[in-house]
Amino acid sequence: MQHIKDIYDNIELILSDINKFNEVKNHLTSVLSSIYIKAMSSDKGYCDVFIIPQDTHKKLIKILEIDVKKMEECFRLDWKYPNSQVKMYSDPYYHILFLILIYGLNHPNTHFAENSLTLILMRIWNGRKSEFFKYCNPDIMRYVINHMVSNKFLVSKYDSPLSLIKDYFVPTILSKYGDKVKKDYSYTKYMFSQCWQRVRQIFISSPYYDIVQKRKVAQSGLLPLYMKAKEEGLYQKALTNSSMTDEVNPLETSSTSNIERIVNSTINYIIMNPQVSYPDSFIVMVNKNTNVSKTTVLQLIKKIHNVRYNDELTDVLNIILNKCNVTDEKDLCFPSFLAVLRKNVLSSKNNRDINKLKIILDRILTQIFQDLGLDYNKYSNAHKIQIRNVIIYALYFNARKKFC
Amino acid sequence: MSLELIKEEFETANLARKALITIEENREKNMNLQRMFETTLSSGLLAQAMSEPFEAEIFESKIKSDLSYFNYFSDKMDNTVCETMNQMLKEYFKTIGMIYEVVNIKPEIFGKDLSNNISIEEKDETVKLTLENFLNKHYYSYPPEKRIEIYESEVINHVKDIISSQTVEINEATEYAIKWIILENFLHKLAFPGLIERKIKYVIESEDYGKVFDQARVQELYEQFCDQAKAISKVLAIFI
Repeated sequence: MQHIKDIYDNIELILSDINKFNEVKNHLTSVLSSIYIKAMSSDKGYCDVFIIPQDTHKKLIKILEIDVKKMEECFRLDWKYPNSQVKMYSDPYYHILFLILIYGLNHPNTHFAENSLTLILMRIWNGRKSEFFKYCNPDIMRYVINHMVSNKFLVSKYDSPLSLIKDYFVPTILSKYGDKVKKDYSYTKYMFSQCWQRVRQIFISSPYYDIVQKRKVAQSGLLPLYMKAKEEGLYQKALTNSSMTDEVNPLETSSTSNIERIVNSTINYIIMNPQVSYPDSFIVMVNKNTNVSKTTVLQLIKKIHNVRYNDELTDVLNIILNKCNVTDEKDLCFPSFLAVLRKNVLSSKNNRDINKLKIILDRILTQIFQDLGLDYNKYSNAHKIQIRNVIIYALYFNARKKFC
Repeated sequence: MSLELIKEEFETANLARKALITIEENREKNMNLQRMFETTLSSGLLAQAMSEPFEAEIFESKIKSDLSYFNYFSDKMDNTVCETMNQMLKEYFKTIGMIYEVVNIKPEIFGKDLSNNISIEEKDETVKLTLENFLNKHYYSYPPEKRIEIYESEVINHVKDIISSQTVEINEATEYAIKWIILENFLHKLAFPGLIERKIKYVIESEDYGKVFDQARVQELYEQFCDQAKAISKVLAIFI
């Protein structure tokens, strides 16, 4: 005996009334519109959650004159979950939406199936997101999406959770399970379980048992990649609001490409010139400002003229120029540029950019120190600040030498 | 000798022996602790663990706070001495700042921070109490003979310095030299409270530091500070 069918048959009857049908249709449209508008204006990317109105399912229950307890009982009997304490299975939000989904499958022109499944998946997304990311930094997540996920990972193909749900999950789940649900309404349980699994896999997948940590750990998914990026201080700022419109801000584009050009030219200049000479006045200045001995200053800055540091130096110079608000090569040539460098980079305290700079410079310096027969990690954090500043001064010197 | 007397003597000797053994054990324990501390410091672990970088704003607050102690003495000076002292203090604080900056250590304020908005009365009271406690602990609590014994190793050079520049009785010179040494120690604590001075000395002696940094510069600055502290405390000692 199909219990869900009993309650569904009532819904068929009620929705044969055009007014009721329009009420349900308008309500679904209105709810989805409000969620879409908020989602599309957000720049949180895969950190985002959907703002689902509280009364979404209550209003539907009211329009369709459903007895909530009876509905829950029907689903409990067909889905065979033990009692109403089983949270997700016993949630009337999902029950009513599955009933409307069934109606939509039986009446494809209404788009009720797509709309209700979208709402189901959105709520599951919210739950999984809050389960795995108590706090999600959109800049870190942006970096993960743009630099760390493989091309095969769904998130690389769909630029937001909204797009992922609307354009991928909904059509594929309906296509795969729609027919089976039409034949057997209790199959909605399996469809529900698939919805949950597929969304969850976006966050964590390929679990394995870690012997050291003595627990299951995910190998892939947004969560392990995000934690890795967070640990390494990797992030990517959002584009400005002007770039969210269709019209491209020419100034914005030109300054970004200018910085790229300055960085690439400077780094090429550095790595292609291993025998560059640095004037005494520069060495004395660096020694005076860092207390690193003149001998060591010279040793360190000569070592960066090596193609092995191309990537790291590119990242470092990028951060420096951004922190100093350089938009054009002329900015490098102002006498005040050194003061700006000192204020915004050399004396700057803990912030995301500076922390990232520290990590990359430490990587370079650990290697350089090793080459010099020294141990970089013997030096205190305060002393490392002074040593890192030598490399920053060297990049400043070379950028100005190239462009001024 | 009666048996009871012999027994009593034996028990007393036994007690004395046990006491001496305990003293010796404690001395060894203290030496081990001291050795452990020296080893940890020389391995750089201590320096690494306790190093926050220099902050110019904190140093400015430090100067304001430290100046309160010097102001205590300036009330007792005439204008000429005051002016000379101001010049000396200008160079003195410059050297201290350079040491903190060059070694890249976060400046520390000795005792209560007197740079904040506290009343002049509270400031004066704190300064007076701190100095009096320091002097009581290191000078007034000892009888004259004990003072000489404690500062014996340092006092000779200071006395020579005094006698070479002025005609003064040896006892008077010794008393003055002791006050001078105590104030000199106070200035060291004021400039580099807690373990800061140890960190600076570590940096001056560390082989690893010398491989990368301009160690000679730190040494030069520290010696300059010591000379300046000596010169200033020589003047201040007149007023206690």
